Amino acid sequence: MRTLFLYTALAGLFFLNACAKTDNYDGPNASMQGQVMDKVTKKPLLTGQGEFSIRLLETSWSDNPAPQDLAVRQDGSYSNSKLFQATYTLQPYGGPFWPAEKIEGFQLGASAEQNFEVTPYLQIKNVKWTLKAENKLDVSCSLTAPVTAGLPQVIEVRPFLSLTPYCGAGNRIDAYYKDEYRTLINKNWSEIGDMQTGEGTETYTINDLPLKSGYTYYVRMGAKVRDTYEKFNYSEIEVIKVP
Amino acid sequence: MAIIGLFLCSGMQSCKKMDLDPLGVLGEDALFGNEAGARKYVAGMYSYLPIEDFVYHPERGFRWDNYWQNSETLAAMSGEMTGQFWGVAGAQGFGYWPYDRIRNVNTLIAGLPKYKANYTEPGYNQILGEAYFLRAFYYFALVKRYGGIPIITEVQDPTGDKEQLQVKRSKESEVYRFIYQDLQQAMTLMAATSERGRANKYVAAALCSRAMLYAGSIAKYSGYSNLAGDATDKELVGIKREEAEWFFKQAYDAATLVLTGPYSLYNKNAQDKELNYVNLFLDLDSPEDILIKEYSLTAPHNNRLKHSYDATHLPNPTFSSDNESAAYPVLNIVELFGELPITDATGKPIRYSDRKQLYSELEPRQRATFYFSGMELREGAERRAFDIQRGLYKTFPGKAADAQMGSGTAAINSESNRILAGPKNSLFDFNGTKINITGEHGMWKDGHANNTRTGFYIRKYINYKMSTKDVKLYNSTQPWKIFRLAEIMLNKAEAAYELGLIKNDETLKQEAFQYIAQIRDRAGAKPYHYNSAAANLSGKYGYPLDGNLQFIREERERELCFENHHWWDIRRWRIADVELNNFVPNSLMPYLVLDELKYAPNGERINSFIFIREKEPWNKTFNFEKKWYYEPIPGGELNKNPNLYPQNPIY
Repeated sequence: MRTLFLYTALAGLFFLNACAKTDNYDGPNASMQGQVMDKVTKKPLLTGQGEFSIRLLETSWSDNPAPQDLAVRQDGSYSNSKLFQATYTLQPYGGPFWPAEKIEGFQLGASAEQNFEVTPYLQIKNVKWTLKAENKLDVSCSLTAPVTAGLPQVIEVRPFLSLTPYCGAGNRIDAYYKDEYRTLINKNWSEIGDMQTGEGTETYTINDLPLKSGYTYYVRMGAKVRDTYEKFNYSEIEVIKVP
Repeated sequence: MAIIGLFLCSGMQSCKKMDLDPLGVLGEDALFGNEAGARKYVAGMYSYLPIEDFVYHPERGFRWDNYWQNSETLAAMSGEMTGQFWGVAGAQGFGYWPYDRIRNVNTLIAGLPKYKANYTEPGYNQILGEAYFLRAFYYFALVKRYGGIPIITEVQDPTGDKEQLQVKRSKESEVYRFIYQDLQQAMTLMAATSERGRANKYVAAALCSRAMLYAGSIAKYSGYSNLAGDATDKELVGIKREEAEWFFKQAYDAATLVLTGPYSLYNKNAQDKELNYVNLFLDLDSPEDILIKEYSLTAPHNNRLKHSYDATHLPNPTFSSDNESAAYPVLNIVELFGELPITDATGKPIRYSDRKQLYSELEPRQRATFYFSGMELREGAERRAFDIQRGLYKTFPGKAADAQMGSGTAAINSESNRILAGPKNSLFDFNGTKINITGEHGMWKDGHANNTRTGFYIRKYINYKMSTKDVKLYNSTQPWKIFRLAEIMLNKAEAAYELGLIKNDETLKQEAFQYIAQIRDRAGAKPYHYNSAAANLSGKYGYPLDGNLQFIREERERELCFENHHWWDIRRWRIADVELNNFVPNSLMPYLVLDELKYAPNGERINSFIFIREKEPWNKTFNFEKKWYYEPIPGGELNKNPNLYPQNPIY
């Protein structure tokens, strides 16, 4: 019987031994940052907070990597300090611009900076606003297309209002995101603009946005085309103080 | 030790003969070897057939057990209805992946020929044809969700080579063509008639007309939705435009075959078209039914063969004694049947002394599809009217537009002029007379569960013959129409018109309106005539569209609303991202105007009701994200089979 106990005890030791292999891979200690620029204006791309991303595919690990998306801020910058040191494919993804080129085989060491240039579908120009009696706001703009050939249909133009400097589709006062405050277009560029120069021929006006006295509004115009992602191109932000 | 060793050795001896057939499990020969066995096997597959019926939940799956969620339907996702806690939430589905069921079918197709000698020729053909039909049904449920998916036609060996088990996705077009082939087989093999609830030749043709129509419109319109990505480049989603003609032709031919079958539009109560249309959905013996799913209160619960449609769509306690109504038809779809007489020529609201007058002249089908305020339900002592009233106006001298869609900031809607109330049956003291502020069934000030927020309740499929005390959860059994003739006629009309456009053939385009005419005649609707100079509506969705085609689409919506078609229709037409772009439904709210109340000589009050078009008061907004044109391939399946990559666009 004693031998049996001994065997049982020995068998137990085998179980205790089982997990001896420890994870000795490096943690996610690499960082990466950069800026998405507008290829036409050479300025940071006009966007809203977190409306598109830099898509990372870690190609050194698997053939079908799950994409990691680094959100892009309103000023067009992005950064992340918890990445693995590895080989990546990088691409600005899901934004209001022509498909951007992929950067393949990007070796990420301890830290890196990588900027991107993209061509926006539309530029919003000539934003004009007037604050009328009873605090009603009229705002107008026109469009320009840097590349006209193959431009998807233009869907709509609409204003975005916010009470903070963050202003866009993700940071908006919902009360103004209504059908009555938009211009529905649904037309090809050839019907609303010049195919050679890319200048739009029409002015889009949104009338009688009711504002409240004593508030400071951050206002920008947005327009989108029927591409895959249907994100907005924006104008610069106008600051409107309502007396 | 030696003793223990011996003891262990003796244990090893016990089961000498292990290759015994288990008792209590039906083997292949029992199931496939005779018609009764095959019938049982097939019945099991019908039970799990992906039918989007009363107990289908878009985000939870088929045969969903939480019956109090029977109001969370595809109709409440597509903007036909607006619910309480449920919107477009289910658009990404529930990861449906029925390859286990498909394997069952494949087992039957592979195993049956061995036993052919045991069958009569028609009996054998019927079972085999049914198997092909069932397989097509499963694949259609997959392809309309995911686009291209792996086509598996054999019984895979689970211990086989990994590379062979990990089947790649086929193109979306190839899957639809595979469905076509299976259904052709099924049509050739099966007889013209079958017992109720089982497939026959015409049932297979009905599925074929629906599936091929879907494929045709995806071929024609998918290019316009600009759904870019690897899956699009490989044609796993989307079909080339030049294939549209072939698919529309197959849809047309399959529908033609169904129309030669023994079916006719339900018209048993031709003299009362409203009642006729109501009964169409309740009569178990309808010549319009091609395939239905029946329910039974006595079936074992795990078969999920009962539902709660009545209890989840009618207000409690007046018409339901359990649960409450939780989804309401929106005004937009009510008005699709025709304008309601709300305002006069000058734009002022028309005055009604009785709310029933509003709908008395409307299309019978419209009255049969929705419960308007004032309509009555139940028999005898239980008979009551739907009492829907939003509130009171002290005075309403101006135009309907003055109410600004019910906005609280409109001058006429100031709290001193428009009286709303919280709990029902609150009374307002008007010059000494106490007057109910709201209706019993809606709506309270800010909307409330069990009360309509749109001014309507659904009538289609509601079993008016039930007693209110029986309207409970798990207690409804009216059958679900999987295929009915009206849909096939609409399939044929749409396919004919699309073919006419592609081939520039006026005859085909005009033919479409023969079927529209039959459907509208049964519905009691005004005739619509083919317009050879139809309006150009290409601005609507940004692709070529004319007024006739738009009418055919709208007729489909009118005839088939709340039957779980529209969600798939707006997907295949690629209009969902336009139709459901920040969409807030409209409501129609009855108000009583106090300063116009009069009294008859006998002291009876003569009411003055007006109907105001308002934004749905919860401001529930529908948005369709473009990626939802396809559901994502389930993550668990991608892990098991990397050959399923690439994922569908934008996921």
